[in-house]
Amino acid sequence: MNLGRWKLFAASSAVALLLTGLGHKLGAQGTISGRVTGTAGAAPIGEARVLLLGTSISGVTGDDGRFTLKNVPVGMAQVQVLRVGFQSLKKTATVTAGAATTLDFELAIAVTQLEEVVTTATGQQRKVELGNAISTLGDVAKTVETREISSVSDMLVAKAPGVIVLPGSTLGGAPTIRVRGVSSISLSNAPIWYVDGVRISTGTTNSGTDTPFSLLNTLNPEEIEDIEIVKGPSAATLYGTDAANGVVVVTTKKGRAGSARWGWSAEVGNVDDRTDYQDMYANWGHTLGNPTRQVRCQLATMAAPGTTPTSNTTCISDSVTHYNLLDDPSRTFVHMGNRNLGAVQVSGGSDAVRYFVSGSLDNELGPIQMPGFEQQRFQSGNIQVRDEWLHPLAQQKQSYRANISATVSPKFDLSANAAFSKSDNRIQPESDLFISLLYTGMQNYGFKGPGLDKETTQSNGTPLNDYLQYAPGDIMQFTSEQDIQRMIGGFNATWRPFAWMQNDGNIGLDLANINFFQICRLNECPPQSATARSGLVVDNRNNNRNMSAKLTSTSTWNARQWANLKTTFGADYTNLESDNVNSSGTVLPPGGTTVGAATNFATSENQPTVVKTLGVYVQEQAAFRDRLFLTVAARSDQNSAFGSNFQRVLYPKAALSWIASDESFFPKYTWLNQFRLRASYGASGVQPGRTAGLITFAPGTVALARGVTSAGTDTPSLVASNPGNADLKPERSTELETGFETQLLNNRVHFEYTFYNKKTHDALISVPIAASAAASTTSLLENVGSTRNYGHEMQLNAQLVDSRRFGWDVTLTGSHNTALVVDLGIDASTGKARILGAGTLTENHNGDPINSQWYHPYTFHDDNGDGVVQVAEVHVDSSFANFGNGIPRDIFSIQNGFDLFGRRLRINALFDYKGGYSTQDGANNFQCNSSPLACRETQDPTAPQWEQARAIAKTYGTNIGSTSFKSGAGYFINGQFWKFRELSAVVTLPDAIIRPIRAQNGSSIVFGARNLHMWTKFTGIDPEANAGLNGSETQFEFQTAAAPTYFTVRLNLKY
Amino acid sequence: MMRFTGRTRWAAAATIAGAMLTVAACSNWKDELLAPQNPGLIDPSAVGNPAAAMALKVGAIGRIGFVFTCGGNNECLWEEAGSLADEYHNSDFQNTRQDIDQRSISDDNGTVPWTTVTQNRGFVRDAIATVKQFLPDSTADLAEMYMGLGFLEMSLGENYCNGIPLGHTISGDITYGSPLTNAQVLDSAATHLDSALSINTGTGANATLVRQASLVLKARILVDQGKYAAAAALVPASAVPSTYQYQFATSTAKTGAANDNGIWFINNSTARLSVSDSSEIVNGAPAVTKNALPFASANDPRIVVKSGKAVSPQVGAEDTSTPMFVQLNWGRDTPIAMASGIDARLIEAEAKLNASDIPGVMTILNALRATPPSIGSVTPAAMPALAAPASQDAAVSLFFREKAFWTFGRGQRLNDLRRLMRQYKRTEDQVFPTGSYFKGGTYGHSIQLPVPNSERANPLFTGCTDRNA
Repeated sequence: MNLGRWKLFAASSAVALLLTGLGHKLGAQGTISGRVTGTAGAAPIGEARVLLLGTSISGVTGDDGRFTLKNVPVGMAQVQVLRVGFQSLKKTATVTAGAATTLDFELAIAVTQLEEVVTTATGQQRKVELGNAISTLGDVAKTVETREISSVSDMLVAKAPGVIVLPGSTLGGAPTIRVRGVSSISLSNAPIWYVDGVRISTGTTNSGTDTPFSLLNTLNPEEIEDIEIVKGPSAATLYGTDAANGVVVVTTKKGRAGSARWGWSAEVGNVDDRTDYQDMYANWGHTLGNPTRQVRCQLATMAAPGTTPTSNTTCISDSVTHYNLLDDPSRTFVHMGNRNLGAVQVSGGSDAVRYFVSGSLDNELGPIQMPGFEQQRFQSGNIQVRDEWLHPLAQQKQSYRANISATVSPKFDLSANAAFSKSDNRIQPESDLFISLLYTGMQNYGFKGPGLDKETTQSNGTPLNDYLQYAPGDIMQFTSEQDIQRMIGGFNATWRPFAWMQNDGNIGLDLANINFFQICRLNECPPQSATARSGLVVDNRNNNRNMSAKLTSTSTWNARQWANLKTTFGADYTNLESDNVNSSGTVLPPGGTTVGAATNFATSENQPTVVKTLGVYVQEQAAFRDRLFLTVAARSDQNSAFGSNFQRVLYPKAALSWIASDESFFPKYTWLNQFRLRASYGASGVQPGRTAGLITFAPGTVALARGVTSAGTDTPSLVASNPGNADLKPERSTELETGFETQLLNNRVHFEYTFYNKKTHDALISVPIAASAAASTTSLLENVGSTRNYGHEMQLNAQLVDSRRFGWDVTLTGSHNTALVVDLGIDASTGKARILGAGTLTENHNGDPINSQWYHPYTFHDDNGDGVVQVAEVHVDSSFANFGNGIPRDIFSIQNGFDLFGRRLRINALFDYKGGYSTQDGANNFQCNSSPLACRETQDPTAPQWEQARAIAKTYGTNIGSTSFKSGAGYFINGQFWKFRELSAVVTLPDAIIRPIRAQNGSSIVFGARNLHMWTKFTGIDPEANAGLNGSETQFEFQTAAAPTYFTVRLNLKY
Repeated sequence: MMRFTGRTRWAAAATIAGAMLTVAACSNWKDELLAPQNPGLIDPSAVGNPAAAMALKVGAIGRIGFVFTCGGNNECLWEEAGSLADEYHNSDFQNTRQDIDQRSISDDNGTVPWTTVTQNRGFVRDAIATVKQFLPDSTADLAEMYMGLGFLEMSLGENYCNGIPLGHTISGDITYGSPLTNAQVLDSAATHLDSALSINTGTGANATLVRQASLVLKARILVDQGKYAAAAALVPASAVPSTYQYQFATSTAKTGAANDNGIWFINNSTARLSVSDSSEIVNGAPAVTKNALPFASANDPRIVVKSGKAVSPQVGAEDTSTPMFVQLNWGRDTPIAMASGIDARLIEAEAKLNASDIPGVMTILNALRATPPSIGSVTPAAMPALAAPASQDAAVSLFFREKAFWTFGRGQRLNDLRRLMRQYKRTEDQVFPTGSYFKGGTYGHSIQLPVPNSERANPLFTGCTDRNA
């Protein structure tokens, strides 16, 4: 880097700022100070935001409710105070030069608890000024204290309209978070995340199984003050390229002036796998050819009930048994897990320096434990059962944070934020791993004990104890561990050279070191291959390094008493970099646990790959009479991932917010307190992959054998890899959003509605390349399509009962989304509309839902009326049909809060619904079609006929000539469900308890529960069971555990 | 409150500031901020030289070998074609792989190894282009690439349905091909082998190695085309001795399935395919699978097979139910022959067969049996001579049985079964495994691997044109 050019930039910026101020003389200034309290002499209110409207000047009240606004221009000043839980209040004062003006506020309690200030790309702003909807989670600190929350995804699920959260199924598993559905066909639809202005990585990481871990899980909910979800391009324009799928803005807790305030929390609880694992069945029969030998019959091919077959090998059913190994206490590995948490926080400081420091330790053992018979087996062989075998699903998280804010001068604030987290995870072998624990337990023979040619031992003689394939103890020896160490930190500086100007600078880093380690020592683990028990070790090291920097300058001008203008210039830069070294070894000596100790080993090293974005933007905001707000803005981005033929992209934005009810001509109703209309339009993008535009070659090693040899000679090689695309540009989305918000019935009801219509052009699509073209890849990323994504969102907050002794509040959120393919362009080979994925499971056609799932349709009819569906009674069609989308379109949540016993007890219950989609019953899809074919619909004649038919369609299909047509359509089924997601009871500790321990008001004990019950017709494990996303953004489930149920008790003490 | 005129000046100043920011954004420092820094990537600047041409050629050889070890934890062409024929039985849980064994293959069967065969033609073409440019005198290397291209296309024509597109991509420009019949694909393969033979004028060891492989492959295509005598004329023992082998090898120093012999990995290691037999247990009762050869139970010295329980460590079928039989010819890193002197002798024998020269056939077959060349790590003991069959039809059966044991696992059996139908006028139920399937149900009627639906990304392809021949 040429530092001289940096200097030039810095100098240019300084000159620009200086020029900006040329037109001013340093006007006379005064001070406004005052106190914010509740009405009628109630207690002082801390943490209230005090805004000098029309300027960038603001403050926050201390614990005593006092505030001071300095450098206030003389003249009339309008001050507004905002605080969650209270009705905002505006007052006007006259400021005189060098004098202190006093302005006190008494805030009335608001019945609806809504955040009124949000963090935007250009700084903090009142929500009423925005033309777009932003979901805020409000008082996150309180939510974390009073609910069963152990991860960021727990905080987000069912909390905001339009935000679809698919929680990670297993401990540490990556959640899938999508905002307003999906728009990208080939790229990620995940939102980007900022923590205190620092762009952070939220990608998935290797767990050694299909279920990835997530960097998101390193964020500690205990440290978070607020989470805001900027939903679409209309709101996220100034976040630039990569923000089209939304932006999640996380603000951590900050210190406030005052004496040290301590918070101690401790939590203990159970982790319970309450999945209703299905029984396996065995249809016991015989054949005429060998009537004394018991064989397993299959419904599809056995002799029709009551008939005698003519073939000596046709199965005749005698009886049906069923068995659930995972519910059998003598066999199962499902076992109550537990979690505990300890956290401490302290904040305080003076007007000059404020601090927030926290630390927490979170331990969790998942609901899996080595069965007793396996522990005994190892112990009898003098093999010590290691803890990682006994509890193969576990997580420990440590998190530390220090946020310091300093008022260096009346015009200059500086803050530093630093967080370190360490997350250690274990995950048991699962999903479609060859040695999956759940797989061998779930897919059993349908009976206990020997019979029907059941293998009772694995190939090395170890008893299986009714497990299918491998002894569970051996599987649990297969240890996968991940360690993430992460530092997120940054500096924020605010310089207010004039009352009308604020300059903000921010620079931050997100450094994540991810180590993945897998070990099977010598003579450990199942004999799944000839070399499996000779030892295996995997040691992968990955580094993510993100740097983000941002400069903004905002100037305000009260052009008229009724008009205020705010101009912002900004520039930001992000540099996202990653590298990794992967190594593995096989054949270990006794005690060997490292790659270096292995006889055979392989390594691969990926040098850093980088994606960089540089953006500049300008925004003009106008406020008229503090009720009509107009915003126009534009941002231009350049990005290193763009093709060499594409230089920059421009994203415009315009927004309007109008508090119509404040207008004199607006009809006045006693039941209507406020009515605001909003509309916005904006654009944003999604960048191509880091190296997608480049032509690359892949190195390798080929063993060459010349003539008859006993072994080849390893020789370095190259093959073409990525063909590159010099024309790559970002996927560009534009969005029009309109809606309204209203306060009703003496502010007891808040309702907001939003409609959005998002169109994505230049969609980056991995256009399949037929293998016969013999290109170096089977797909090429191109800007070839367009999609449309539109929907409705609503939120209702209501205080139904509000008395001294009893309160009842309810929050409803709902959204409906439609995501369609609009145009995939013309296929140059045919001149017709392009179809993506023709003939495969995921096809995209113009006009269809994005990533529709296609199957051969089938029909069935029990022609002979015997109650059992036979092969000939199912017909699979040779054509393909669209069976719909795999992503929920409808989400809905109901949250009820009850305050009882003079508000000493608060009970909160959250139910949520997902529907409008289908998802694959992955467990039955496999179990009913693979050995030992022991699922109910292949064995039990009382199974519903539609289930019998789907198994036949998948396994046998229909033969037309020499072509066989089979269909898995029967397993892609309606995934809609209602879930009792959260229940909590918060008991505010009475004085009699907190006084002896010298704690303060606000201390509480919380009984929390999560994932209590589900109502669904889905036939699989759980419609939210998720081993990850496949390439088409639909969830993938393959005998994957559902998220467990948590029951916790938490003590929160305040000092 | 500022005066309006002041604000006007302020606005002008702000405009200037914005303009400066914009100008700054266009300055050179911006290029440095945005310059891609991906030091681990190999870009085109690294491949314009002779060393890179040789590396691309080696890479292409590796990709040609994908017919038996295809880059990871997958069944490759030779294994799946053997499963569709009678060399292997499916012994895993995956129903798409079972479908191949059961000859009940749908067009959307994701297990069919298609990409790993046809796509790799492109890497060979890349190597041809760069070897021509940077190593124009390395005729043996260039010939080896043409040979590899011919081999891949021959593999397509022998194993897949009619309706095979042969497109190409040059400098990123894709040209899709229209579906071709097997015969047309074999013609294309023959053309490449002719190029290999005409280019390869050297006399060194490498040139000889490549030339002999090219001769064997060309002769195989001629046999496919029914030109038996011409085929035999290409591969006399003087040109291709019986002990000759052009081998695919795997790394002994590297871990991972991609570096294991694919047959060993799928059969001996992960136990997803078991060596097949003619007698199975169906619904608890012994049953003979019509037309299947008893590879597992024949105790033939050319293909050494043992029960999975008789080897150490024991090998149990992945599905825990299929009787497991493992071959012992190829270990984890044993090379395997793509073309061999055995192939040459069998081509000569088949020419005799088609000339109704049964004694001639028996002379060749018995000579091989008397002094068997090595197959993998096994050098079979001498086998007693076979008696001459009494009829031409019996001679055909005998010849293909002998060939099946000589060429087990090397990607020839499926084509031979198809040829028995096409060239020897036998019917499907006289050739392919037929009747009850040991895992339940019955065998289907698939006789080739389909070109899977993923190929429909080629708009000129709408499906196999003929799955019955």
